[in-house]
Amino acid sequence: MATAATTAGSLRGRSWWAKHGPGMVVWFFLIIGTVLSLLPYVWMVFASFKDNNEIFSATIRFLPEQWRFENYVLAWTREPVARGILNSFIMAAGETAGNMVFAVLTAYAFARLRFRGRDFVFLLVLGTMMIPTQVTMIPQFILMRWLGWVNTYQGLIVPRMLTAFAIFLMRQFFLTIPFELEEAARIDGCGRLRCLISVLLPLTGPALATLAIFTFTQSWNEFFWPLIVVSSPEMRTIQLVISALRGQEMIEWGVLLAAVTISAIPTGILYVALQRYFVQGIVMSGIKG
Amino acid sequence: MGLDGAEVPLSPTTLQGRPLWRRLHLPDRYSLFGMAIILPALVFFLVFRVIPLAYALWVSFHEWNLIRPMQWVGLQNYWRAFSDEAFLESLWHSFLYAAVVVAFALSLALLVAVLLDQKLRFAAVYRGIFFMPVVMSWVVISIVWRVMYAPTFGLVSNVLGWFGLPDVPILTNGALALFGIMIMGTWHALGFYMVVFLAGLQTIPVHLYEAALIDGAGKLQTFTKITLPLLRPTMLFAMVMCTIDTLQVFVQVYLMTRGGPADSTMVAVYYIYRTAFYLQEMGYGAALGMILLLLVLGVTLLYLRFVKVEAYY
Repeated sequence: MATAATTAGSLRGRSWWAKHGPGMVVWFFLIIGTVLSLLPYVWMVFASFKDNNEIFSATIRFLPEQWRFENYVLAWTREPVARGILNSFIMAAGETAGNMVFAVLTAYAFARLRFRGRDFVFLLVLGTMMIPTQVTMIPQFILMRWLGWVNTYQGLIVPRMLTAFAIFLMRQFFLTIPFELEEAARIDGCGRLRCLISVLLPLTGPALATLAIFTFTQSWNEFFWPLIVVSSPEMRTIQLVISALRGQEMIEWGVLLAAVTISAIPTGILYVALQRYFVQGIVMSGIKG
Repeated sequence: MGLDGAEVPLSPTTLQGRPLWRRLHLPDRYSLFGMAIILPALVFFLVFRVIPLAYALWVSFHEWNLIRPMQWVGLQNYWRAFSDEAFLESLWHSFLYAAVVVAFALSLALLVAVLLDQKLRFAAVYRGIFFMPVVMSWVVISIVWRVMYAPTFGLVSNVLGWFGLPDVPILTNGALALFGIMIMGTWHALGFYMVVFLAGLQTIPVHLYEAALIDGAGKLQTFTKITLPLLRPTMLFAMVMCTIDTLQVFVQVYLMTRGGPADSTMVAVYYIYRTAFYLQEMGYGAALGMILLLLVLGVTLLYLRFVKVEAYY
C-alpha cells in the first residue's frame, strides 16, 4: 500500500513536470525574446517625446514626464525631414515600379520560355547577387558622374530599377504555375504576350504584392547607395537626413528620435498590415535553397 | 492573333498566310521572343553591375584621385594592401563580426524556429514580433541602440546596474565596442533567419516524424537525426546569405562609432569607403574592394564545398 502510494505520488510529480516543464521553459524564452525584440521600439517612441536630460537619466522611466510633442513639430519643420520623406517616397516608388515591370518580364522569360543563352544570362544575373554593392561603389559612382546623374532622382532610381533578387523571386513563382494552363490558352490561339498578360498575370497577385512590398521596404531603408549618389542637402533621402542630424555638434536626441520614428512609420504600417507577404517573400526565395 | 489559329494551330499548311516571324518554326520563334524580352535586363546588368566590376578591376591597377589622369601602377596597390596594417585589422574586424553574428544569430534563429514550429498558441504573433527588426532600416536601429548604449545614463547601463554589474561605457570602450555592435547585429539577423528556417522546416515531410515517434525516438534524437540533416540545404542558404551580408557591415559602424574608439570598430567596408571618398584614393580603394570581393567569394565556395562533401555519407 505504502509503496504503491509513493510510486503514484512520484509518478504524478514527474508527469506534472514532464507535462508542463518544457512548455514553461519555452514560454520563458519566448517572453524574454519578445521583450528584447520590442523594447528598442517602445523605448524609441517614448524617448522621442523627451528632452536630452530625460533620455539620459540615471533612473529608467519609460513614460516621459512631460510629453514634448514639439519634438515632432521641430523635426518636421525645422529639420528637412519632410523633404527627406518625399525623396525617399520618389526613390522607393520608382524602384518598385521598375521592378514590377522589368523583373516580371525577365523572370517570365527565364521561367517559361526556351531560347539560346537563357541559362547563361540567368547565371550571370544570379552571380551579380554575390557582388557586394560596396565593392563596385567606386566605378558606379564614376558612372553616375559620367552620366551626370549625381544628385538626381534618376541616379538614385535607375541603377536599382531591376534587381537580381526580384527576378529570382518572380522566377520561383512562375515555375509554380502549371504549364498546362498556358498551353491550353496557346492552343486556343493566344499569343505569347497576351498569354502573359491575361493568363499568367492575374495569377501573380500575391507574388506581385510580395515583390512590391519587399522592394519598397528595401529601397526605403537603403542607406549606402544614396550616400554615394547624393551630396546636396535637398536630394537627401530620409535615411541620409537622419544620418546628417546624427552628425551635428549638439544633438537634440528627442528631435532626432522623433525624425527616426517618423522615418519608421511607412514601413512599420506596411509590415503590420501586410505581414504575411513579408514572410511569404522569404519562403518563396528560400525554398530552392 | 485572336482565335484564328484555333482549328489546327501548329500544322505547316495553316501557317502559310501568317506574318514571317510567325511562320518560323517554333524553337526559333521562342528564341527570338525570349531574347527580345531578356535584352533590357541583359543590357541593364552589363551596364550597372558587370562593367562596373570590370572597371573596378581596371582602376585598381592605377593611381587616381579623380582629378589628375589615371596613372598605371600595376600590382602596387595590392602589395600596399598586404602591408597596410590598418586595412588588415579592419578585415579581421569584419570577419570576427561575421563569424560571431553568423554563429549566434543562426543558432538562436534555429532554436526559435523549432520552438515556434511546435504548434504553439500565438506562434504567428511571436513570429511577427521577432521578425520586426528586419523591416527597420539600419539607420533607425543604429541610432536607437546608440542611445540605449549611452554610458551611465543609457538604458543598457541602467539594466546592467539592476543586476549589480559594473557600468561600462560599451561603445566608447575599445575592448567592448565591436562586441556591442555584434549584439545588435545578432538581434537584427535573428528574425530573418528564423523565418528562413521555419520555411525549411515546412519542407520536411511529416511522416518522417510520425515514423520516428512510432519507433520510440525521443525529441532530441528526432531533432539530431531528422530535423538537422534534412535542414542542411536551408542551413547552407542561410549561412551563405548571412556571411555575405555580415561581411559587408558598414552602416552600423558609420553611425555609431565612426570606426572608433582607436580604430577598434574599423571594418573593411568603412575603411574602403574612407579611402575612396575621403582620401580620394580611387585606385587603392578599388584594389581593397577587389580583395574583399575575392574573400567573400572564397568563403562562399568553401561553404559550398564543405556542404557537398558532408552530404555524401
